[in-house]
Order: sequence, then C-alpha cells, then structure tokens
Amino acid sequence: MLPLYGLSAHDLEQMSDDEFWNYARERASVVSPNASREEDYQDHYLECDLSRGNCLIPLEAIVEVVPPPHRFALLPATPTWMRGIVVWRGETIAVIDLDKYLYGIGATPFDGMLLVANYADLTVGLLVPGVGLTTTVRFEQMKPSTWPSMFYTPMRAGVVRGVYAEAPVLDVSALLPDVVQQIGMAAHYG
Amino acid sequence: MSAFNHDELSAEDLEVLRAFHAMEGLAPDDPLSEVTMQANSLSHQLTTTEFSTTASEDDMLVLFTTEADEDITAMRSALQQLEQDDRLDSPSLKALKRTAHKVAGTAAAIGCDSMSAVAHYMETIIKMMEDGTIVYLTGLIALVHAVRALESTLQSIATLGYESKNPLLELEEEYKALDIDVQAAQAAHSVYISKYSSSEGAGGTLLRMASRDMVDTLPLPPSMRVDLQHINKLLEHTEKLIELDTPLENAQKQVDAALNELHTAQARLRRLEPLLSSLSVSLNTSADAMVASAGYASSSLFTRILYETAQGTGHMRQTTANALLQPALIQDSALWDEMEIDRFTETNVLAQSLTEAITDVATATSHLRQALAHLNAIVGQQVSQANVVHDDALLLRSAPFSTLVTRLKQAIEMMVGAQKERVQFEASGETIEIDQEMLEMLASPLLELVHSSVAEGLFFAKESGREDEQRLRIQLNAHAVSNEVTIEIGFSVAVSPGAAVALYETVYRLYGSISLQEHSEEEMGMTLSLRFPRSQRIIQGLLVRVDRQCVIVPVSQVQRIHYNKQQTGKADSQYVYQETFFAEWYHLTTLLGFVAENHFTGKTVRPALALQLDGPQIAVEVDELIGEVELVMKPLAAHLCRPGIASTAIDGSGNVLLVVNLPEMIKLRKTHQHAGEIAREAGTLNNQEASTPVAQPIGLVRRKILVADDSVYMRRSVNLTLNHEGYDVVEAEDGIQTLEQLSNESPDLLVLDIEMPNLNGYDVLNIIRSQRRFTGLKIVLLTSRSSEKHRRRGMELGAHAYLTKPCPQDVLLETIRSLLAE
Repeated sequence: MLPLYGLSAHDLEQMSDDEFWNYARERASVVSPNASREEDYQDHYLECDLSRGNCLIPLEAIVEVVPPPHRFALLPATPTWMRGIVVWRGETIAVIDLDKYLYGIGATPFDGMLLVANYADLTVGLLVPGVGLTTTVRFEQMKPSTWPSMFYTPMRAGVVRGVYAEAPVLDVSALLPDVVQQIGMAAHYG
Repeated sequence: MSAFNHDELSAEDLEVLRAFHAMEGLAPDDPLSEVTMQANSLSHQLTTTEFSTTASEDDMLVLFTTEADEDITAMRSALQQLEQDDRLDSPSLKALKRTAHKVAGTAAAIGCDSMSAVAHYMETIIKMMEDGTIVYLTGLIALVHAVRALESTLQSIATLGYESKNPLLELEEEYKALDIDVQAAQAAHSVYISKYSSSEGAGGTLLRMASRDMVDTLPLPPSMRVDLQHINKLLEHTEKLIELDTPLENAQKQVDAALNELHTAQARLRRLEPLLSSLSVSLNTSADAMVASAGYASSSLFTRILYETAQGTGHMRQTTANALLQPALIQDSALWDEMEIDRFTETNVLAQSLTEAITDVATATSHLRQALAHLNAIVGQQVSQANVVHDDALLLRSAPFSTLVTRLKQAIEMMVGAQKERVQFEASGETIEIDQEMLEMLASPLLELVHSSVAEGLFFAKESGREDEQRLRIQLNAHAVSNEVTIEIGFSVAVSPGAAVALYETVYRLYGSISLQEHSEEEMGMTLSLRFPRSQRIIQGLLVRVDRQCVIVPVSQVQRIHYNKQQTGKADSQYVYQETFFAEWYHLTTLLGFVAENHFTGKTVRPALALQLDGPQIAVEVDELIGEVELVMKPLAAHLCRPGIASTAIDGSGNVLLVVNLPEMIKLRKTHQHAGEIAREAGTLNNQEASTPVAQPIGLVRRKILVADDSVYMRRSVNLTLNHEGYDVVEAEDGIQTLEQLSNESPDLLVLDIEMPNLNGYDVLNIIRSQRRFTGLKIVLLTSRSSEKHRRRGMELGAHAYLTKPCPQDVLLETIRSLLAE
C-alpha cells in the first residue's frame, strides 16, 4: 500500500502504471470525514446528451467514460439498438446505442462517448452522442416516471427512475438487466 | 446383515419383547411375527411406496431387507477391494457408488429415510473423493463409517421394528470429527446443478441448444487431479522466469545509464550553441563569402566552424562535406594541446569542444543502442519463458490419453463379461496429453459409441446369424501435432450412424471436426477420425474477412482451402473452385446472419474453406483469407453467446474477433431450412403412431412392458402394479439384460432406470436410438435422479417420459396408458 500523501513528482514517475492508478484511485476516494460519501455519491448523476434532450445516469454505475473505438465487432442476431461488442479491460462487453434503445430511433454518431456502466456483475457499454456535467439530484426532487414527457417513450418507462428538469433519470438496476436479457433473447428469437 | 437369533436374547429381553408384542397384539413366538411387526411399524412410512399398495407389505419389506443386506455385503467387499486398489479409477468405487445410489433410492421408496440419507452421504463422499475435495484415505474411512451406519440402521429395523435415526446422527458426528461437511457438499452440488439447469425456458430448439451448451461447458469442479511432474515442471520454469528479473533490472539500469550519458552529451552540445552563435555573428560576413565560394549551406554553424578549422589547419574541402569534416577534425585533434592553448584561436577551442561533444553523443548513442539491444534480448527471453510457463499451466489441466483409454477398456470389459475373448481392444498414443475438461467431454460420447459397437458386434449379431464369425476389434489411436490432437477410433463392425451423433456434437463444440472412413468390403467396419485443438484456451485459426469484419475459423475444422477463379479453364485448374465438387456451399456472411453485400464484385479469386461434417463435403466462402493466427480464446458471457459463436479472441490492436464454429452454424442453418419439412414429417409420423393402437382391439392384446432396474424391490413393486393393471411384465436387472430382453421379448414399452450395472440407462437409450428395430418402442425413465440435467439428457436420448422415484402409482400408470395410447 502506498502512502497517500507526500509523494513527489519523482515518486510518481517511478511508479508503474498499476501503482499510479491505484494511487490515483486512493486519492480520489479521499473525502472529508464529515461527509457521508456513499450517500452523496448516490445522488450524483452524469448528464448525457441524447437526440431528444438529456438523460441522467447515476455516477456510481459508470465505471469509465472513454471515446468509442473506430469500429465495433458485430454479433449476429442482436437487437437493432446494439452496436456490437468491444473489449474493455480484457472483457468482451456489449455496446448499445442508448438513444436508439430509449427512443427506438436515431443513431449515435461514432464521435460520441462510450460510458461503461456496471451493475451487479453486468457490464454494458452505453454509447451516447456526448456527455455533460455531473449534477446532484435528490430523490424527492424527481418527478415520477409517469410524469408526462415527450422525451422518452413509454416502452422504456421501466428503466426510468424519475424525471428531473425534463430529463429522464435512468435506473441502471433496471436498465442493464433489461439490456442483457434482451440481447440474450435476441439470440433465440432474432 | 447377521441373522437375528432369538437365542441370543436374555430372559429379560424376551420378557420386554413379549410385552411389546402383547401391546401390538402379535404372537411373540411366531417366526414371521418379527418381520410382520416391522411391516406394521413401517406401514405409516409406506405412504411414499406407492407401488406396494397391491402387494403384501410384509413380503415387500422382507424383499427390501434381504436386498439391502445383500447390498451392504457388496459394499463391504467393494471397500475391501478399494483398500487394496488405493486408486480412484478402481471399478470397485464405481460399483460402490452404484450400490449406494440403489440403496438410497430403494430405502427412500419404502420410507426408510435414515438409510436413504446414509446411502446418499456415501454417494456424496465418493463424489468428493473424485473431485479431490477429500483425500482418498479420508474418503475410505468415511465410507466405512457409512456402511456401518447402514448396517446398524438395517439392524434396528430387524430388531426394534422401526428405523433408528441414531446411526445417522452418529455418522454425522463422525464426519464432523473427520472435518467432512457432507451436507454442505450436497448443498453445493444442488446449487451447482440448479444454477446451470434453471436457465432452460420455453424457447424451443434453439434455446435448448444454448442451454445444453451452457451445461456442457460447465466449469470444472473447484479441484482437479494434477500430475506432480507437471507441477514440478511449472515450478522449475517459473523459477527461471523469476531469475530473469535481475538481468532485466540490470539491463534497464544500463539503458538508464546510457540515456543519462546521452543526456549529458546532448547538454554539452547545447552549451556550445550560444558560443557558436556569438562567434558566427562576428565571422558572418567573411564566413558567408567563404562558405558561398566553397558551396556550404550558410545556415549551418557547425559547417562554418569546421570550415574555419579546416582553413586553420591547412586542410581544404574534400569532395563531400562529411569527407571534409572527418580528416580535418582528426587532424585538429592530433594537434590539440591544452598546455599550449595560447597558440590556438577561439575558433580552434570551439571546434575542439564541438568535436568532443559530438564524439560524446556518438559514444552515448552507441552505448544506448547496446543497452537497448541487451534489454530487448532479456525481454525476449522473458517473453519466451513466460510462454513456457503458460504452456506448463495449460499442461496442469491436462491428463494423458491413457485415462480415457482405461475407462473405455473397463466399460468394454464390464459389458462383455464372459465374452471378453470376443473383443480385441488395442490402443496407442496413450501418453498424449489432453485437457482434462476435454477428455471428460469426450468420454461420454465415446463410451456410447463403444457400447453401441459392442452391442452391434456381439449381442445383435445373434439375429444376423454372424455370431462367432469373427472377433470384434476396436482400435484407438491418438497423436498430436503442434496444438492439434487427432484421435482415430476404428471398429471391425459398421456402427449405426445414430450411435455417433453425440460424438459429432461434442467434437464440434470443441472446435474440432470428425470424418468417417468406411473400411473395404473385405475388412468391414469403419474408422472415425476426430481432430480438435489440444486446448480450448488457445485458438489456432484462420483469420478471414467477411464484409468489413474479421473472424477466426479454427484450423481443426478446415480440411483444405480452395480458390475459385472466375475465369475457368486455365492451366492452374487445380485451384479452380468447382461448385459441383461440393454438395453444399455457403457464404460466411450468410451463416453469420449479416446483411449480405455483393461479395464477388470486382474479385477474381474467392477463397473457400472446405469442411466435412457428418455427410458430404461442404464449402464456406469468405471474402478474404488474411492468414493464420494463434490467439488466446475467451468465452463470451452467456447473453452474448450465439449458435456457433461462444468465444472471442483479441488481436494485437485490441479488436474483438469472433471465433466461429462452422459445423454448428451450418447445422443450425440446415435446421432452419428443413424446419417445415421436419414438422410435416413429424406430423405424419404422429398420425401413424396414433392410429396404430386404435387399429388393435383394446382388451384383446395384452401389452408387454419391460421393467429394467437393478433393485429387486423396485422391479417387484412395478411388476406387481403393472400386472394388476393387466400388462405382461418382463424384468431386467442390468443394461445388458435389458438389451437381451428387448431383442427376445419385443416389449411395447420399457420402464428404465438410469443407474444400473454393466450398461446404465443412458447407454441403453443410446443403443436403442441407434437401432431401427426399436423405433416403435416407448420408453419411460424411472429414476431417483431428479435434476434437470438428467431429465434433459434422458429426453434428448429419446425417452418419451421421465419420472422420478418415488413415483405415485397413478402417475406411472397414466403415463404408460397415454404412451400406449389407451
């Protein structure tokens, strides 16, 4: 275990990549002892650009935000909103076009961003046209997902936790299992 | 079990017994009263013994206790043999496991839960021994305790009239003392099975295929047997890898030192630059003129200084600037003397410094090159050593082919029994190392194939009148080239194609291929040749392009590569792809289900991969054959698996490459293509089958049912029940007898147990499936194996119904009635 403080630039230079990132993660996890980190973290969301406005994705579910690769490997018999598969940290994961998944239309250009989301051992790449800032939203600030909105289709209402400032707040605990289930089912039913 | 002797009882004991008998209203001196009393005491437990309602309960109990006593005796002798054998592949262990299973099932059926639990513990202990969870000796001790517990429990039935739970409780205590958590092991096994069997849903054929694939690719148990030599080899190579750390660190230090040296030399050179600049300003005019006249580039300060130096030393410009530079500096260097520095101009001093700085840079660069070359060499050594360690790690998973050969040999011996001399079994290549998981996957279908061949060669030969004509010869040969293993299995009889279906499927799942070669008429028989990768971790494949995507086709599945040139009739016609040569051809894009583009536009050569499935030759065209690769293969997550695609590999650029299983893809495509025809044919058959019983006058024909079970109690119970319902019943106590009875008695329906000696229920099903004569036979599997895995396998092998013991009588009868369309 490396000390958290007092490392010089030279010390940092001497570190291997793994040591550096471990150190960076440890530093990133250091917060004020007075703050209840987990609770605060749960209320943090990342704004994502979609063709019909923004959506909010819980920050705690996003493992990494990376530029998408130039090409995805295609997999046969997949839903129309699945772009393909990529390798992420040695694991092959599905990449979906979040816009198309939510609204059933549109196609995210390749110059968007790839959000690697994880929930309960399920890892999926969410391709979005762009990402914005993080924002804090308390549960009580959200309107119920049944709140009439033109920004998401009722078909996917099950994956929306609520609506905040016209933006659907996605429920990753419902989204990822649904994505995985539909990708699995597509193998058998097309 | 030792016989109960009244004489051994004391007067007091007898008095107590009499009192009990009086309470029960039984005659104390009646020799039968003891068993009758047991029957009465157990009668409340017999609710689960549905078959026995038509039989005399005391007769059935006598039958059970007698059979259980025999089983315990058999267990004892098996344990004695195991002590001598001291090895896990001893046939005695299998016999013990089978007997324990039988006792567990029969005891549960009659309501003796403790006995059933003890026997079930024995099954678990054996499984733990096989998995390596417990060591052999501990397992043996645990089994000895279990047999004692069985004896004590059976004795309690005989002496007390009811089943005592004490032996079971004592056994559990003993297991605790031995640090064996048998209940946890049972629970883990249940979870393990349910986890991988619960995924099946109402998804039709494809879903079933996928689920079966999942079960077939179950991870191995947490432990496996490892050859000590392999471990030592791995350790030795790992140590060598570690030893390379120091040279690597030294090499890195040398590179660092050389880099520092270069940095210093560069710094010295940089320090000269301002001096040169200032000097160049003063000399600019004259130098420009000189340079212009000499033809040098005016922008080069170094060149100008060197020119001056050359002027100063009297050496004029040579034919090239470089040629001028070298001799001038060398000359200057020779003349240079620090003690007489006053004799030299500032230009001379600068030139000398520059010379030294350049020399330093050149020297440092040379050192750096050497250090880097040394580092590369060490890194190369480390990479190759890491590959060796990786190979060793893969080898840890492997076992010699002889382990499979032994199993096949034992299976044949057990099957043929007294007719051992009629079978000649030969094997070679037994030292070839193959992944244990793959060996395990191959074992079952190979056993099925061997069983079928033996049945064909020995048992069914009677009907064809060729019995004793010749001996059955089975030849098994394995050899390996690079990362590929070939197993050839030859038979002196033609085995029914149905017997090899499971083997074909298994080999395809292993990314391999299989070809059938029929022997000449004189020799008779056939040889199956199986090719598959030695490991499922590394894929050796052809990298091909389809549209804009690259995929990997395992080399083991490709027989050869053909090239089609659109202009036919040329001299190199051997490379011309002749469509007529192949019975079927596909494009890989179509097989993958991608949108087909115009693949052939503007192309003159089309590569096609020639495959041989269980029929004629097939060609699969691709857009481009890029080359051969060897990459690490990674299984896909379950939701990403597709028929024929279960793994990927990552290339050096981080691209995902699908590893395609062409035989599975083609099979799937054929299934889709012929789905309509198959459905129509099936409909016709069903109609025919349904009409058959109606044509026969019901009541006049007594249907014949064959009951195959190694438990006398179970056979008797089912026999009585079926007899009572008006069926003719014949019995068989093992797999071979079942086959004989099938041939001799031609029953309408078979009630079949799975766990039986000689041939188990699955083996029998396989043989039945391969024989046309049994097409109309209805089969009900009646077994205590209740997991979805067993049920699925049974149904896949052709059983029409699957019932688990203890089975309610009305369920069994209703199933039989419906199958016989009554």
